[in-house]
Amino acid sequence: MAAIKRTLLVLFLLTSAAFAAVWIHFIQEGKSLDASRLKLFPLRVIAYPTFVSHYGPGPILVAEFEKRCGCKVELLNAGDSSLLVEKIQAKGDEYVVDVVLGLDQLTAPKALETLEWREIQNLPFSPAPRFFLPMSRRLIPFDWAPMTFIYKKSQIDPPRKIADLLDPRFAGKVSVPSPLTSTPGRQFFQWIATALGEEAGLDFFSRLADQNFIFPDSWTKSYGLLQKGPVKMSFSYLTSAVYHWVEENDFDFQPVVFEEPVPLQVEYAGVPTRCRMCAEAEDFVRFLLEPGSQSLIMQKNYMLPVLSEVLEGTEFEKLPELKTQAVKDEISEDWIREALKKVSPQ
Amino acid sequence: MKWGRPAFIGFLTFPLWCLLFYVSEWSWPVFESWGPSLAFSFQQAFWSTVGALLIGLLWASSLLAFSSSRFYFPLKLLTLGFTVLPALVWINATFWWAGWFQKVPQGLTAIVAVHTLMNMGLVALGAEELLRSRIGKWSEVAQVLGVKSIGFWWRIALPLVKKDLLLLGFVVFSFCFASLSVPMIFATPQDTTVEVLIFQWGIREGRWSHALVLSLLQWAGLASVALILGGPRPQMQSYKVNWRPWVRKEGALLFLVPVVFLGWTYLDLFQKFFSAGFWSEVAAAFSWPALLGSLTLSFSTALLMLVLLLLVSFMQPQRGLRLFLLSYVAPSLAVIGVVFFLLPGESVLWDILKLAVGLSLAFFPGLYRWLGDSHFQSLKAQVRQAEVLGASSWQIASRVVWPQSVEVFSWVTGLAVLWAVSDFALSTMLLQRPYSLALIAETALSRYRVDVGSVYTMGCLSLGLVFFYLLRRGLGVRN
Repeated sequence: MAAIKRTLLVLFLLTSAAFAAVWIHFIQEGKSLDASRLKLFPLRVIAYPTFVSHYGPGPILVAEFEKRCGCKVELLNAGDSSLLVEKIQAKGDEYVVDVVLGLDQLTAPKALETLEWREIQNLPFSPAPRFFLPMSRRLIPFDWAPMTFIYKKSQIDPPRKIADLLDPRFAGKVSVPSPLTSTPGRQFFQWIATALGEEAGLDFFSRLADQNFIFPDSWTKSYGLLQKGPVKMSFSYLTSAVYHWVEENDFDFQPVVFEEPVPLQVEYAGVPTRCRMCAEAEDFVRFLLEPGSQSLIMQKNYMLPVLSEVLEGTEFEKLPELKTQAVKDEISEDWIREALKKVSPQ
Repeated sequence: MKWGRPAFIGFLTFPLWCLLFYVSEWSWPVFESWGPSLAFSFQQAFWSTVGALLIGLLWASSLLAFSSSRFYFPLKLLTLGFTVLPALVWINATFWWAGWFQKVPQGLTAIVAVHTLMNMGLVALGAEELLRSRIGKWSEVAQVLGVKSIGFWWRIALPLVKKDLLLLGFVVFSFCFASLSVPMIFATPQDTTVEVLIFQWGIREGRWSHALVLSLLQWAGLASVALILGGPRPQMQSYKVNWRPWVRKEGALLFLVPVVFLGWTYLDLFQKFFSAGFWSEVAAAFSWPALLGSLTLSFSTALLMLVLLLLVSFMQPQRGLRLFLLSYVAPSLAVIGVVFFLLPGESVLWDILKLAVGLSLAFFPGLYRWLGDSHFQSLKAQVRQAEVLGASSWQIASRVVWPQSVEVFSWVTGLAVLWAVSDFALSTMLLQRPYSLALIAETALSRYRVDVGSVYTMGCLSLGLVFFYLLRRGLGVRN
C-alpha cells in the first residue's frame, strides 16, 4: 500500500517535472528569436516526418526562412504523407495550416477536391510543365524522382524491360511496397497498368504470381530488405542509389534502366485558402524554389530538384536518364485489388 | 461506485465511441470483403498459438529446472527480454536468416513461425507460474508414489493446468489475431488479416464506418471465446518444490535458439560500433527534446497504467467487468491515432499526453488479459472473505488487493512503458514535433540509415528496461 502510494507520488512528480521541462524547452525555443520582429502568429508548415526530422531539409530551411522573414515558423509533422489531407480535412476550420508540403500526384487530386488552395504568383522560375498536375497549377512541385528498381550489381543481372521481371532469376529476390499501404507501391501498380494497359497488366500480374515477390507494408521495410535482407532488387526512387554512392561510397547499388517509361514521383507544396499568414506562406513556397533551398532539398531528401541547374557537379548528375510517364490520375482501387488477387500465389 | 464500472468501460472504449460520432454515413461491409480476412486471421492466430504453446511449455519446464539455481533470475530476465522485443526486431532477424538460406519467408508458415518466436517467451513465463502454483504440491506426492516423468506430465500435470493453459493460449491468440506488422510483411498480398483490413479501410480509404464495424465484430468474436474459457479458476499458490525428477536442465539449450537467432543478425551492427564515423552519425541524430519527450511519455504512461490497475483492483473484476476485460481487444492503433488526432488542442504537452493515453488504452487490455486476470482471480477468495467480514471496497482494495499486487502491477506497468517508449506507429501520427527517441529511430530507418535506426531502437529499449527496473524497486519488488 505504502509502496504504491509512494510510487504514484514519485511518478506524478516526475511526470510533472518532465512535462515542465519539455514546456520550458518549447518556450525557450520561441525566445531564441528576436521578439520585436516576430509577427503575431507563427507560420504553420505541415509536412511528412522525414522532411521535418533532423535528416530532412525542414529544420535548416525553416531556420533560414525565419531569419529572412522575421517570423516564427512552426514546422509540424503530419504523419504519413497520405494522411496530410485527411488530417486537415478532419480537423476542420479551426486547424490552422499555412503551408502543406509533401502532397504527391496520388494524394493531390483528393487535396484539390476537398480543400481550396491559393494561386501562387511570381515564382522565382516556373518548373517544367510536365511536373504540374493536369488539373491544377495551385500545387507547386518542389522536388521529384523517377521510380525504378534499385539492384545490387554484384548479385543480380538487372531487367531491361517490364517483361524481364518474369524471368526466374528474380524469383523471391524482389521487394515492392504494398500498394494498399504505400505510395511507391501504388506507383508500381499504376506503372504496369499504364505501360501495358489494364487488361494486359492483369495478365502480367497473374504470371508474376510464381515469382514470389515480397510486398511489405512500407517503403522503409521494402528498401530495408534490400539493404539488410535477402532481396536483391527493390522498387524505389531512382535517386535512392545516390545515397549509397555519397554516404557509403558503395556503387554496388544501381538503378535499373527500363526501356519503357517509368513513373514519376513529384512532391508538391501548396497554401490552403484557410491560411492565417498567407503572404508569408506564399513567400515560403517561393523560397523552396530558390537555388539554395533546391540544393538542400536535393541533398537531404535524396530527390531531384525542379531547378535543374542545381544538379551540376553533384553525384545526382551521374544518374542515368530514364524515360518517364506523364503525371496522371490514379488507377482505380478495384483494379489494384484485382491485380493483387492475381499476384498472390494460389 | 454505481457508475464506476460503466465509466471505466467507457474510458477504455473511448476511441470507439469517438469514432461512432465521427462517422457520418453508415453502411455494412459485404461479407465477401471481410470474410476471407477473418478466416485468415483465425487460421494464422490459431497455428501461432499452437506453436507458441508447444515451445513455450518446453521452455517453462527448462525454467523450472533452474528454479533453485543462481542462473534462474538471468534466464527469466532473458525470457522477458524476448517477450518485450518489438516486432521489427524479429522481422529483421527473420529476413536476415532468410537471406542466409536464400529463401523467401512468405505466407502462413512465415507468419506462424515469427508469431511463435515472438510469443513463446510469454507462454514460458505464464506456464512456469501456472505449473508452480497448480501442480507444485502434487509433485511431491507423485515423487513419493514413484510416478514416472512421462506419466507425471501426461496424467497429472496436463489435466490440472489444461483450463489455465487454454486461457493462456487465448491471450496469445488475441495478440496474434490483432497483430498488424507481421501479417502485413509476410502475408501474400491477397491474405489480409482483419487488423490490416481495418487499417486499410480506415486510414487509406476513409471508410471509417466499415473499419468500426469490423473492430466491433472482432471484439464480439473474442468475447464469445472469452465467455467459454473465462470460468472461475482455483486460487494460485506458490510452492517451493524439487522439480528435478520431472524436468531436465538440457532443456536450457532452448534458450540458445532466440539468442543465436537474434544475436547473429546483429553481429554486423556491433562491428560498426568500432568505426569512428558511425558514432558521430548517431550523435548528430540525437536531440535532448526527444529524450525529454520519451521520458515524459514513459512517466505518464506508467502513471496512467498504475491508475488503471488501481481502479480495476478497487472495482474488483467479476462477472460483467471481467468478461469485458478478458474479451476486449483495443482498437487498432490506426483508429486510436485518428481519434486522438481529432481532439482539439495542439500544444507539445497535449500531444505527448494524448500519446500516453492512446498507448495506455492500446496496451492495457492485452496486458490485463495476460498478467492481470489470473492474479485478480487468485485473490477472489480473500476478497470474498473480506466482504463477508464487512470490509468496504476501499478497505478491500487498499488492505487486501494492493499489498499483494505490487509484483503484477510492476510487470504490467513496466511492459507498457517498454512498448510505449519504443512505439513509433502512434507517435508518428500524434506527435507533431520530433519529441521522441522512437521517432529518431523511425526517421533514420526511412532515410536509409538502418544501423543508426537500430541503435536508437536499442536505446529506446534500454531506456524502457532501466525504467522497468526502477519501477520495480520503487514498488518494493526485490527480485
